[in-house]
Amino acid sequence: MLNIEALVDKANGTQSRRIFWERDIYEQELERIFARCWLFLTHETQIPKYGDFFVTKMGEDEVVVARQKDGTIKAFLNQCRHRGMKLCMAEAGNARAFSCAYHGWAFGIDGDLKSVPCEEQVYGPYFDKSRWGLREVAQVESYKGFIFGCMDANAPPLAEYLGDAAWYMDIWAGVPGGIEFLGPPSRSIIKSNWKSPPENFIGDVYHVAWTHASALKAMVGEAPPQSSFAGEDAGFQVTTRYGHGLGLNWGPGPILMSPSCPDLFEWMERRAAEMVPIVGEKAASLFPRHWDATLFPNCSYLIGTYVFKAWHPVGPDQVEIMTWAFAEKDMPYELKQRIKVAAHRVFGPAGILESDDIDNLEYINLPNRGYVTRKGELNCQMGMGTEREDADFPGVLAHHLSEHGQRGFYRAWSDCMSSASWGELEAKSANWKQDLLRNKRAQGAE
Amino acid sequence: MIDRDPVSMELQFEIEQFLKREARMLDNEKMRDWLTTMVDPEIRYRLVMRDERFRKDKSPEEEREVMPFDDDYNILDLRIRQFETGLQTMLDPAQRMFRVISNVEAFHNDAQDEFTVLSYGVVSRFRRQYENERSVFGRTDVLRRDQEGGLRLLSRQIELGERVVRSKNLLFFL
Repeated sequence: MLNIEALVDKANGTQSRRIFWERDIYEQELERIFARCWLFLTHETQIPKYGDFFVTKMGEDEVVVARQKDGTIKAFLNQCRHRGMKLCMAEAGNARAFSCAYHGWAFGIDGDLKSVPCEEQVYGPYFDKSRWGLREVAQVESYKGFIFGCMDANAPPLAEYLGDAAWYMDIWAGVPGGIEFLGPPSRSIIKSNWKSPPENFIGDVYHVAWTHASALKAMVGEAPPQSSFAGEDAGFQVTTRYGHGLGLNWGPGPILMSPSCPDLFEWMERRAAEMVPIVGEKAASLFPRHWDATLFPNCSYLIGTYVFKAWHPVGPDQVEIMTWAFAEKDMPYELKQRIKVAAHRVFGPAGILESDDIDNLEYINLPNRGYVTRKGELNCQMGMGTEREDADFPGVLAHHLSEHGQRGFYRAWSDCMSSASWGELEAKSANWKQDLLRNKRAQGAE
Repeated sequence: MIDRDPVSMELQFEIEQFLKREARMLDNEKMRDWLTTMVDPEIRYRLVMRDERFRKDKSPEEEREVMPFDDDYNILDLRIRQFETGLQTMLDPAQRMFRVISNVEAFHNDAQDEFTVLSYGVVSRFRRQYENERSVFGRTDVLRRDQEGGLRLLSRQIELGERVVRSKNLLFFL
């Protein structure tokens, strides 16, 4: 058994480099994180009609997510039950059934095995097709239009899993009319470990003014100094029970969209005012700001930049990135088209910010090839001791320029990896808040 | 396919020289020169990716597209200004790029002095000692003759061969 405690030091904010490289750790992640946690599948607006489907991944398991006749959504492993061939070769579309390319077994969009070529001749009159339907993902639920799936039937409901992160999602995903994903995702594969991108998106405020200095300078004239993100009035970071987190910057939200969508500044301010009666004044005050966020384990979003991402593991050393632009459904068509382009311009495969990030994400992992390098530990201690509770904002908060969100991500990683079941995970994380705040006092006493 | 008249051998030669000069300029990181001497101020520069669907799928093209580039002159200028900051650690040491352009076919447009130009290309990028990446693409361009009599790129639509990008990023012009 892996000694998880030795890999992530929760109290001290350090991680072993081994968790980004070693195959046995990765295999345990597939089991204890990807086959256990709620994972983002797609958005309701990507599969609005009966028969609409979208193919994605849960860990390395490929799944077909399909809209049913009654409007509900199911997800199935994308494999024929006969000899196991990959079933649906398209990545999206509309279908009533999928036929396997190998021998022709056909499955309905509801997962049932509908027809078997020469059935009676070759299997006889008593072949029980009902036993050989597609294997269904144990739980599928949608929150404000965002569809998640979970392979573990014993997992708590999605809203409970999101916990305090749902309160923050309500602010932007709960707008009247809701959210709409714009077109298919752009997709790319990079040579990094799957944890590194969501770690970056959950709260790496530190890199923004440094890594992205060139993009910021080209866009807004001058790159802000890194120190401008420090201080309590710059913003805050949040972590939650199951590792979801976000960084909120009090600056204006659509700053990265400004070259071609300057009207978003006004749009967000107006919407923020309309959100006051729905979510309350304090929550609505976050609406027109810029946020970076990750929902543990592997999806992230940027508010103000209108980007939503899923990070799929491809072995311990590669990640497939799916990037969608999104908009509010109520926005004018023409604005949505501009957002679709502008979001990919910054965080798509040719994104002027994304490109700098990806070089970092690859080169923080490549050194792990070295046996001695891999034995080292990584420092994620920034802002330890600034943790606090806030009457207005749920979760545990800390300074904006800190690694509070990242530490929460690895706390959740450790909790998942060291638990054999959801029951154990729930017990382990039951007092997460007290543990975190107690650790702060212990650090302060040193 | 293209229902237009092919250009003369002489024009074909001029257009091919234009495409080769572009490739050389971009390979040599002369993005600003490329923009100011070869690109029309009314440029629309797009790189389009499409999701993979079954042949019988009837959804409108537009709903299947995602555009890593859909830029006008100002946005191309913005991207070039980013290169010019000298702050991109990604580009230091310099990467080496090689654009190979082929299968050039050129046709007259209805508008005088406008030409539709089809081409294929392969771009290789070498960097950080070990990295060796390649993208294969097709392009549909419209070239227009400017007042000085030179050709300018008025529109370009690039289609990548690969659906899932495997070359880290596409932060370069094709």
